[in-house]
Amino acid sequence: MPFLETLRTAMVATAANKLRAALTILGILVGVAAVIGMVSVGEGASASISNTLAGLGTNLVLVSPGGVSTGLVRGAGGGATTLTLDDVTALQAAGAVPDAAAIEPELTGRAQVIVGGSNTNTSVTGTTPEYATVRNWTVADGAFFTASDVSSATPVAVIGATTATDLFNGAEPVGQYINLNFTSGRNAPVRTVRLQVIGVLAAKGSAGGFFNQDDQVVVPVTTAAQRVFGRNNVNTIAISASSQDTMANAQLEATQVLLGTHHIGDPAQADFTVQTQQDLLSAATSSASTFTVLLAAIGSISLLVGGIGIMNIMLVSVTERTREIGLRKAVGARRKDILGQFLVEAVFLTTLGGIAGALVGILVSVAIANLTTVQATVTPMSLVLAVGVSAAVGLVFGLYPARRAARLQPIVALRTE
Amino acid sequence: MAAGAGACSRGPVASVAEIPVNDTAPGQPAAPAPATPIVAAGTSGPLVSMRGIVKRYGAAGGSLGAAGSTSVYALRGIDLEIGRGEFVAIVGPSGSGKSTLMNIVGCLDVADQGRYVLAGVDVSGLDDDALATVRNRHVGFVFQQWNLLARTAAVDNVALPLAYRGDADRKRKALAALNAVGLAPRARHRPNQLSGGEQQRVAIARALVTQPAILLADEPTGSLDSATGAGIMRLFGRLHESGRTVIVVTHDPRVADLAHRQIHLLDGRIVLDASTAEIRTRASHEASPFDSIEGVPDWSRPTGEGAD
Repeated sequence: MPFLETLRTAMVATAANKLRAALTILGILVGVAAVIGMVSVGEGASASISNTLAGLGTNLVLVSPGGVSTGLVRGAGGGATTLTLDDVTALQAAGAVPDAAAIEPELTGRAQVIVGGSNTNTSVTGTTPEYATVRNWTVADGAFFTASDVSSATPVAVIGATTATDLFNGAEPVGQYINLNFTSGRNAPVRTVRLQVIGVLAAKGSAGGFFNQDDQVVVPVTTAAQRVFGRNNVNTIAISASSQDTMANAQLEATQVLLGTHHIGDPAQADFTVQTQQDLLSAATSSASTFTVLLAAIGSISLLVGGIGIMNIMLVSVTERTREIGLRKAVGARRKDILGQFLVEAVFLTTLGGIAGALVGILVSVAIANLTTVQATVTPMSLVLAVGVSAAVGLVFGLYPARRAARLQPIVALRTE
Repeated sequence: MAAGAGACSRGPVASVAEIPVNDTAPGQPAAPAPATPIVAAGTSGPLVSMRGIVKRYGAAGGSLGAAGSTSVYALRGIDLEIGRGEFVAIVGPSGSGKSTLMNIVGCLDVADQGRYVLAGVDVSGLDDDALATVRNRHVGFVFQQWNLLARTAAVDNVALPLAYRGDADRKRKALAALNAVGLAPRARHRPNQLSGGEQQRVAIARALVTQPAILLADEPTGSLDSATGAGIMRLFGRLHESGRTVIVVTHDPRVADLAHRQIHLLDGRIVLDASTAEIRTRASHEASPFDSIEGVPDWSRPTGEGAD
């Protein structure tokens, strides 16, 4: 039997039971749309993590206190306190890390920022002028603080674009004063520091719900250590390697320097962690892809249910058309002809469901992307996969009913009323 | 209504290369049936050749709905030869085994014992797919219930057997076959747009389209009124005159009388095998043609549904 004839038979049979076919297709449609929608959310999360990490800086090597941490998760303020400004000085010494282009400390905490009637809780980072280079920041308005600001612990601040909007609501921030209210604990006294805004950073854009890089206050590291937080340990030392190829070298050199200053012989016992941007990226994308797989698995369950629906309806169809099968066998249909006829019919139904489901899935992910803060990215691969998988569902779940049809004996089939 | 010479010319019955010819199948000859074998004159060799055909249905199969716990014999040893170009009626009441015999002749079913050679091919040991090919090449079926595909135009119904051959020219051949049964103007009609007689003629066209060696009809008039049924039988008569081998299975003696040879079955055995002319001659000499044959039922009483 030529394939086109078989396909035509499948279409005639489908058209004969429009409502039944539509409901069966709906089962597959929901499954495929669920898979595509779920995967698009996963892919979107993964893409936004990649964007965020890429925006963190150029050829970045990050030193953090404490032993090897996993992924991006580090204890916030209460983490290890093993990195100090002395470590920064050791790293910045000439020739200590030859493959570093710039090194800067980051002494980070949260504080309440108050200007007149506006206030916001934001991230405060104490650092050096290299921060702009290492972390890829440009100043949109005013200027960044200088090395002499750092050495004399000047009470100045450079603020992020979002912070500027939150506090000044369109008014010119540069030259204005802000008050930082910081407390190290619930019962600790509140320390208030008055800082003059000398610059506003150019916006990098929101990083997809993880954290907003544009919401921050940057101050000289000495100002942060002495006036705001009252501590000397830093949260991060960021090193910008001279090129992408030298990142691994810079990582090794920084490790050696710090093992020396900390008097640690065994690198496995290190009380600090040196990670490259790639390490962070791969850790993050691996957790994101786990997330995507999980979502795809959830979507696949509904596809499985749709497949069971296909099998059910094909079994009904075989029973209803027993006489037709008998007639076809009587006039010369072989087993593979009947098998092919019912398989093509099942695959035809599921592929229709797959294509319709792909369209609905795209609509769903567009709706998610536009109506929520979650990013959703439909990849062409997921569309091809969804349609392919739905055809495969038709093959797998259509096989048993088709085999039953193919094995019917013509006399038994013809005798059926 | 004239049988078109083109579509109805005698089909080639040369053995098909892909069908294995098995001459070594064990055929157990059963007790000879009390029949008078008639070798039809003027044919070049038997088209249908059966020796010792036995068919039984197991209790588990329940095919006959038999009350007995052991297997039920549907055919108890059939020896039969039908030559090319014959017009044969297989006659018998319900339960006589005539439908079983038809199924075996048409290769829809296989015998449990015995040897059956159809058009030079021993079909006794063939598997399902090989039997399907034999049916497609050599047998054209006409069923009581027509068995046309719904929602499918007459011409596509007729072309169906050719589709399983992959014949690219099937549309034209199907139209020719429809023309041969006088339904060319109805080619695009669907079965539900046709009368019973027309549907049966579409079914006959479907049986003819492959140029089969045998045209095998099971109660072809059983679902038609008598006038329409007579028309269908005249069509079979003309097809026979144009050279076809026609086998009609019926319980209706009026239908059987239109055939040239009658094979009467009772309880799975052939009880009479004679030409219709001979049966008529006997009837004119004796009070009842069947008095001499034990067990032949009273044909004048309708037996209703003829399917076994």
